[in-house]
Amino acid sequence: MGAREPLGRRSGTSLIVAFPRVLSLFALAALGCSGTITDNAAELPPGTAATGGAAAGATGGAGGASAGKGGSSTGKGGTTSGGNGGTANMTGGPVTGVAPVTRVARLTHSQYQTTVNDLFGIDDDSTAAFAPDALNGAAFDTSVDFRVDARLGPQYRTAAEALAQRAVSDDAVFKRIVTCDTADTACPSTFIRAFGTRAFRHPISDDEISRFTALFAQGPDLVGSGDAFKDGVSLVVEAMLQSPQFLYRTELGAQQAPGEATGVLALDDYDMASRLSYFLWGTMPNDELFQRANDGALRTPAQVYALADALVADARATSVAVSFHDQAWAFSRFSRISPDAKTFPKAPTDLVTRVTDAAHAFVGDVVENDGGLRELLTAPYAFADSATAPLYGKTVSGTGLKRIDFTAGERQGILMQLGFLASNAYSLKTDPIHRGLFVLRNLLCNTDIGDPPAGAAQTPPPKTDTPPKTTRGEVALLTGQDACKGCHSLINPPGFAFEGFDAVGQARQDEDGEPLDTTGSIELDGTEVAFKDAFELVQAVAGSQAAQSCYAGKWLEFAYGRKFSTLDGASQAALAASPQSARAVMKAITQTDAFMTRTANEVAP
Amino acid sequence: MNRIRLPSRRRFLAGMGGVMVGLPFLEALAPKVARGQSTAIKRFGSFLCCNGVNMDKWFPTVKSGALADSNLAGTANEVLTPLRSKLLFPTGVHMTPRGFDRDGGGGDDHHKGMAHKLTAQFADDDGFAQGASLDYVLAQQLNPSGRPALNLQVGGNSGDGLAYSSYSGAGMAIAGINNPWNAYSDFMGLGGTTGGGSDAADRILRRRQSVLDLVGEQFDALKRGPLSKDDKDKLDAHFTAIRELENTMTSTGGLACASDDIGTRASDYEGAMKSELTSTTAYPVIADLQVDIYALALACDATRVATLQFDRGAGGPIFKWDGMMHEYNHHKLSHGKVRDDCFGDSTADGCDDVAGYEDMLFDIDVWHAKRFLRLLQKLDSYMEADGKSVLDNSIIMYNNELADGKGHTFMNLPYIFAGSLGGSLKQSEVILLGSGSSGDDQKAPHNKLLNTLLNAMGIESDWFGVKEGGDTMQGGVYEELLA
Repeated sequence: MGAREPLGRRSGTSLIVAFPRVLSLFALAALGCSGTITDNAAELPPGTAATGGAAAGATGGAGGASAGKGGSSTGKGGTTSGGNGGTANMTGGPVTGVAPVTRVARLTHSQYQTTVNDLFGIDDDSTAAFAPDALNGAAFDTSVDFRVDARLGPQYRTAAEALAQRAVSDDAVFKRIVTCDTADTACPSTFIRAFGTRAFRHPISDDEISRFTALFAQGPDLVGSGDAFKDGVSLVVEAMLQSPQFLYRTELGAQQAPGEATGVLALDDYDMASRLSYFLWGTMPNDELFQRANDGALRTPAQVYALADALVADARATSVAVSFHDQAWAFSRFSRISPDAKTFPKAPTDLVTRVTDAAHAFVGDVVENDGGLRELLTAPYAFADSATAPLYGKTVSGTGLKRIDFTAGERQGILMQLGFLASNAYSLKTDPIHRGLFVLRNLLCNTDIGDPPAGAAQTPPPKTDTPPKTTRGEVALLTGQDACKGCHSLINPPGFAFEGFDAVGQARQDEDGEPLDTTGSIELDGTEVAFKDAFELVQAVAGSQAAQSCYAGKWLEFAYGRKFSTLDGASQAALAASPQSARAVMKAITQTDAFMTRTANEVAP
Repeated sequence: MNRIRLPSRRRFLAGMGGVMVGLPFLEALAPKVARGQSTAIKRFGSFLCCNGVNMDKWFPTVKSGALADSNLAGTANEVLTPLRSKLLFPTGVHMTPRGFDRDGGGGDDHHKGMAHKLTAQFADDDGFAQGASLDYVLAQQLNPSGRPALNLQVGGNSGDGLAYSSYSGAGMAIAGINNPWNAYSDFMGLGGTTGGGSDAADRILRRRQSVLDLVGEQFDALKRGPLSKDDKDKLDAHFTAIRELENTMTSTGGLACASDDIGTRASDYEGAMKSELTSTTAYPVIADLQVDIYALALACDATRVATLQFDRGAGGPIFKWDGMMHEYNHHKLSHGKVRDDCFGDSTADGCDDVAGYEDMLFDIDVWHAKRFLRLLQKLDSYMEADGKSVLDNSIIMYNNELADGKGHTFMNLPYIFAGSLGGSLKQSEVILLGSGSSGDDQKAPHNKLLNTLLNAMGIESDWFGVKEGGDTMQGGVYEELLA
C-alpha cells in the first residue's frame, strides 16, 4: 500500500480482530435474518471489510460477498463514476490499490456557497435557489457524483449573473477581487490571473488569460454601464463562475507517483490543496494553502499531516465534523419528533430545532476537546436551553444552550440525550425497535438487518390472554412471531436498554407503574455481551472494535465522497485500530493512499 | 424574510423588467400560436395529492356514463361543477406494479404509493422508484430544447423516498421546487426576451452568448484532459443543459413568462428558510402561488409538462385554515388516529380515534379540489389561436398517492382528467375501467392509464412502467377514454 504509514497505526492487530467480525457475519446470515441481501460486493458497507493485506483481503471479500448489502442491483448507483474499485479484485487475489474516483467532482451546493463566500468575502445564500440534489444512494452530501441537469444549469447562470453584478456594485467585494490600479493597462490581466487562480483553485493558463482578457474588453459593448473596467470585471466573473473549472473540483494534473504501482498518481499540488481544504474546512483553499501549493510544500505525507494538524484546530473543521456526525447518525430523523402535548406538557413545541442545535453543540464540543467516538457515546454531559433542561430534570437560565453535567448513572453520551431518544419514539410511547436499529446500523454498520417484510407494519400482535403492560412487552409479543423474530431478536435488545427513558427522553423509573426491564445482550466482535441497562450497553459498544471500524468506514466515505470500497479495508483497519479523537481520524485520513494519490482512470484511447 | 440575500438578484431581474413586463396573455399568446403552430401545443400536468381521500364522498354518484352536475353534488368535487363539461373520471383503476404490500418492491405502502404513481416502477429498499416518471418522459419529448418539466411541491422536502414522485431514471429522484420565488424566477426570463426587441434585451442576449462561447471553450479544453468516459458524459450533459438554454433564449417567444402579480407575491419567499416554506400559515398561501405559477408556465410555454405535489406520503400539514381547525396532520387523520403509528383498526394503547375524522378528510379533499379548480380555471382563461383555451388543449390529471388512506388501499384510485387535449379525450363522463367490484379488482392497471396518456400526447408506446411487474400490468391504451 505504498510508503505512507498512517501514523504508525497500521498494525497487525487490526487483522486479527477482523476475523471474528467476518465470522459473525456468517453467523448472522445463518440465523435467517433476511432482508434485502444481494451478492454485489462492489460497495461494501463500512465495517464489514476491516481487513488489510493479501490474505485477509481475500477473506474479507468472501464475507462481503455473502453479507454485504451492496448497491442495490436496481441501478441506484448508476450515476456513480467511481467507487467500484474493488469489484474486479473481488473474484480473487489480494485487494490492493486505490479506488478510482472522478476527475471532475461537481461542487456540492454547500461547497458552492462557501466557495463564493470566500471568493468574494460575503456571507450569502446563492444556493438557496438551486435545485436540491437527491443523494440517490450516496452516503453523504460530500458525494463527488452530483450532476448538472437541465434545471441546475440555468440556475448556475442566474447565480453567476447576480454575483457578477454584486462584484461591481459592492465596493468591499470589488476591492477584494481587484487589487491593481484600474487605470493601469495591465490591470485587467492582473485581475484575471489573480481571480481566475482563486476561482479555479489552480493557476490559470496564459491562453486562458488572453481569452478572458478578450472578453473583458467587450464590457462596454455587452454591459455598457459607462464604467468600462467594471463592465469587464462583471463579464469575467460571470463567465468564470459558469466555467467547469470553477463548478467542478478538477484533478487533471496528477502524475505517476514515484514508487507506486502503475496507474497510481501523485496529486498535483493545487489539487492536494483543494482536497485538504474541502475535506477539512468544507471550502476552497485559503491564501496560505495556495502559497503552499505554489511552493510545492504539499507533497510528502509529513507536509500534508503538518498542515492538516493546523487545519483541524479551526472552527471550520469543527463544522465539518458536526456535519459528518449529523449525517452518519441521521440527525435528520429528529424532524420526526412530535410528542403528544397533553402527555408531555414539559416538551416545547419547537423541540426539533432545540434538540438539533443541542446535538450539534454537543458534537462540536466533544470534537473541540479532542474527543472521538468513545467520548461522543460516553461523555457525561449534554447541552440544553431553558426549555429543554427540565426534560433532563435540570434548570438552565438565560437564553441559548448551556452545558449541563450528569452524575454517574444519570446519563452519558449522545444516545442518552433528547434528540436520539425522542426521535426514536412515537408521540406517546418509546420506539425500542428504532433505538435498537440505530445501534446496529448506524453504530455497528450491521447491514444484515434488512427492511421488514411487506405488510409487517399491518401485522397485528397475536392474541393473548395476558396482554402485555409495557412497551417492551408489546414489542416482544408483536415481533416474537416467526416471520419477525430472526431479525428482532437482534434488533430489540439494544433498543430495550433505553426503556429507562420515555418518548421525549425523560428519565423514568417505571412505565405507568409497571417495572422496567432494560436488560439484554448484543453481539460485539463475535462475542455475546450481556448488559443490564443502557450504560452497560453504551460502554460495551463504545469499546468495541466493530463500532470503531464502522465509525472509521463512515469517515472514509464522507472524506472520499464515495461509497466504501473493498480497497479501503486497510485504511479503515488502520484508523480503527485504537480509539482516536475525531480530529485524529480526520488527520489520519489525509495520510491514506486514497487521499494522497488518485488513479488514472481515463478512457482507453 | 430576514435572510441575508443577494441584494442584486432582484435588482438584476428588475433591470430586465423592460423586457419582461406582464404582457396581457390573451393578445400575447394568440399571435404566437397563429404564427408558429398549425396545431396547438400539447401540454400535460399532474396534480398529486397524498394520503388518499374519503372514498365515500369523493367519486361522482354515477358509476358510469354521462356526468351531470347532480352527480357531483355532495361530493368533495362539487366545487368543480363550473368545469364539469371538461372533466373525465376514469374509475376502477388499481396501482401497479401490483401495489402496496402485494408487490416485491421495497419501501412501505406510502413509499410505494409515491414511487409508483407516475412511474409504474418498483421502489428500491429506500423507497426510490426504479425508472423515469411520465412527466420526465413527456418533457423530453414535448419540450423544445430539452427544457425540463416544471416540478413543484407544496411543503417540506424530507429527502427520503416519501418526498418524491418524479424521476429522471432509476433511483434518480427529482425534488419538487417548494419555494415559489425559485420556481417563478427559474422561468421568468424565458419567452419574450427577443420578442421585445429592445436594446437592453438584445444586449443581454449578446452578453450571454459571448459568455457561453467562452464557457463552451472551457468545457472543450477540460474534455481534452485525461477523463473517463463517465466524466466526459457528465460534462457533456452539463454543457448541453446550458447550450440549449441559450437556444431557447434566441428562439421566438411571443409571451413573456412574467406576471407582476405573481412576481410580487412570490418575492415574499426570496431566500426563504425551510421553516418559512413549511409553516402552517405559509402552506395555503404557497399552494395558491404554486398553482398560479404552474398555470402561467404552461400558458406561456415555459414548459409543456408540469407537476405539483402536495407535501408527501405519510405526512401533510395540520389544516388550520379556511374553516378547518384540525389538531392532527393529514396522515394521522387519514388513519383516523391521533398517532402516526396506529394502523387499521388498532386499538393499542394510545391509538385513539379522532372523532369526526371522516368529515375532516372530506374538508381536506374539498380544499384540494378548490386548488385544482383554481388551476383549471386559470388555464381555461388563456385562449389560444384555435379558439380553444389552454386547458382545452391540455390534459391535467388529478391523482392521489393512495385510494383509502386508512387501509392503504390501492384499488379504485381517485383520478380526474381535465381538458381533452384538443378533443382527443371524452369529456363530461365517468368511465369505469375496472370491473366495478369493490374487492380485488385487477382489471384496470394504472400503468396502462399512464401509457394511454403517453399515446394521447402523441408519443407512440406499447407499454409504460416496469416490464417485469407481474401479470396485473398491461400494455396498450384504454380506447374507451378516447373521443
